[in-house]
Amino acid sequence: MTPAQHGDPVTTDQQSGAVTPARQGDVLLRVRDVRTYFRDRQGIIARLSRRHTGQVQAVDGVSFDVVRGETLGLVGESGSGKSTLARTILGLIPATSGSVTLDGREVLTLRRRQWRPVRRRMQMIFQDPHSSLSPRFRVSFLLNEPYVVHHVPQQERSTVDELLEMVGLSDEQADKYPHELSGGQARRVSIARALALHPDLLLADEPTAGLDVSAAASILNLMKDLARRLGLTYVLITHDLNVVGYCADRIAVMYVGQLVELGPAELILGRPKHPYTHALLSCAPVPDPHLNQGHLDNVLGGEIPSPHDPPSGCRFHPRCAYADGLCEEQVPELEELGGGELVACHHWRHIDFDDAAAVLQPQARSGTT
Amino acid sequence: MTTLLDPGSPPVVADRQRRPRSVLLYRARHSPTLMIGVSVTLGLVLTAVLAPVVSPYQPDHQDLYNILSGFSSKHLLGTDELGRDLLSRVIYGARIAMAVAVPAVLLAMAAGLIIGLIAGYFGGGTDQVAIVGMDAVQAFPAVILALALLAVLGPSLRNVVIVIAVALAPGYARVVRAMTLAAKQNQYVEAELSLGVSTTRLTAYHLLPNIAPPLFILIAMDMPSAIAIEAGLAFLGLGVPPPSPDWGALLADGFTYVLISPWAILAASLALIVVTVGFTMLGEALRDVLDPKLSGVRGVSRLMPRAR
Repeated sequence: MTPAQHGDPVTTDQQSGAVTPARQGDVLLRVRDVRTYFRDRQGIIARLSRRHTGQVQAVDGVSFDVVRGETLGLVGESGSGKSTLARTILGLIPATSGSVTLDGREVLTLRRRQWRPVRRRMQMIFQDPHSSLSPRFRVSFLLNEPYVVHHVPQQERSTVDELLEMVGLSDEQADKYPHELSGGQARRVSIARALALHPDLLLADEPTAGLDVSAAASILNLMKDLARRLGLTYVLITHDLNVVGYCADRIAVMYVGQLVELGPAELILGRPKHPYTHALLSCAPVPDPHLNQGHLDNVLGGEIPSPHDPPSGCRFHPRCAYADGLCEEQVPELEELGGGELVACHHWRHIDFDDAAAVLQPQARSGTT
Repeated sequence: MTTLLDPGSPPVVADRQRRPRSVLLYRARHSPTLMIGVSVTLGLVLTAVLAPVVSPYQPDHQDLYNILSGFSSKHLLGTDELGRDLLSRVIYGARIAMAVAVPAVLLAMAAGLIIGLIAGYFGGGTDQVAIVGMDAVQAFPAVILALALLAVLGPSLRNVVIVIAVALAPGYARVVRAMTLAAKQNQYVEAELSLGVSTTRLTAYHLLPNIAPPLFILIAMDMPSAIAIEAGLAFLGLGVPPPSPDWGALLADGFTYVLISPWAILAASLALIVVTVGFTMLGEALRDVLDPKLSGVRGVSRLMPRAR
């Protein structure tokens, strides 16, 4: 493991714990201590009258590796910074600090022109299936556009029909406009467009958003199938634990801009160590009408804090049933547990989720019931 | 693979395919305003192009036996103080009106398009500077601004075009800026950027097509303004220099002799009124046909920034 190349001394303490040893295979994407802050839009008067300008810490020191060929699920509530992280990795939003390397090559410091070859290898599927396709062009134009933009020689291009077939669409769809497609079809076109350039890495932002259950399932099957056939690596961003449970090899859980837990899917889903992960799991929908489930806000009490003014210490402490004074003061570091698992919690050793009462501790419930 | 497809959707999609264009046509055909507007516009263009054919005399031909005459079979609209046929001068005046208004409006649109795109796309400080600049220009009434600029530049056809373009450009810049800001919010812009498209391609292929329709409306609406400003300048003696049969100059001359021959101002006024009203009708009808949601809304404040 080479240490990340950046000069921010404040962040080195997190490094030791955050560097995930790649279990097997080579690391395709390495994210190190990435921070993305947004400055508040303020008028001149507000800027002068306040001592410090506010900033939103959308992503605050996230590190992880993505191994070639794996699917990493990135989960968290809305507002946890998942999408911002993906956009930062792709250079669509400038990072405040940190390092992202693709196959060992730093990308965050690239200039606009230098980005282009990198984009061929790293593509993103955006959340909204319809509005992520330019509305005034036919599917055939949209599928051909990647080749035009990257000046791919004719003999290396896939035909529109081939691309459509790859994602399970018929060639009739080529002449249609995006608004004439169903949600699932539009999603497939987005995937075909992203895959046209044979990228190594695909970042998918809520690939099942806006789709009904059966369309979502067929999209996930398609993505799994394509990953196997084309040797793709995915970063799958979602708030839906069923989706990551179905697809992901490893899962990273984000909370208010930071990673709280990272590990193999079966460990995260089966034996979560972090109270937040546990809370997420305990209210993930399961197909059993008799099971009395809580909404996340009810299970946890309160709402996800604003990244504008994150809580002190552990960011989860105001909603955590197990929090004590230590959590309020000290930021927990990502601690390695072996087996590729990382947790950022002071008390994970002492928490036993099997004790059902623990989840419903009065401390957390009192405010909401 | 194909079995994964949602089998229910294709028929619905096919049904929707032909709609939008025929709706446009339907609305166009049932809009008398549009018909009148189009006729007047076509009429003006034809008159300007065919002036030598349709006018009974050369515009500077003098019939010195008939000075300041009223309507007659020889001179349908009478003659001016130099015995020039007013009908011929009004007809040739259409050429000057078009020669000023068309390039002025196109120039204003080009300038406004560039400024608006840059301001809307890059935002921040660039945007602020552009807005202040546009406000500064729009703070003056168009005619006053044009007068001041012409006084500096000196009257000539080219300068009149430039001056009118400067006065009209902020209108285009505002609309383009607002439309760019709105278009930029669409997720496909981000998707195109992540694909690696250049700013030029993004603008030309994915932003411009969404900005274009309101511009056509604005062009039609601005043509009468340009013609009116030009006539106003000529009326005040700052337009295209004298021998040219300019409508504004015709009016000015007519006023000088209004007590002797009141008919003289009639021809030019009529031409101005018909053309201005015609273009305005065209503009409003275009707006209603292209975007019925906009009708009744003055300007495009509805589309103003949904800034982050």
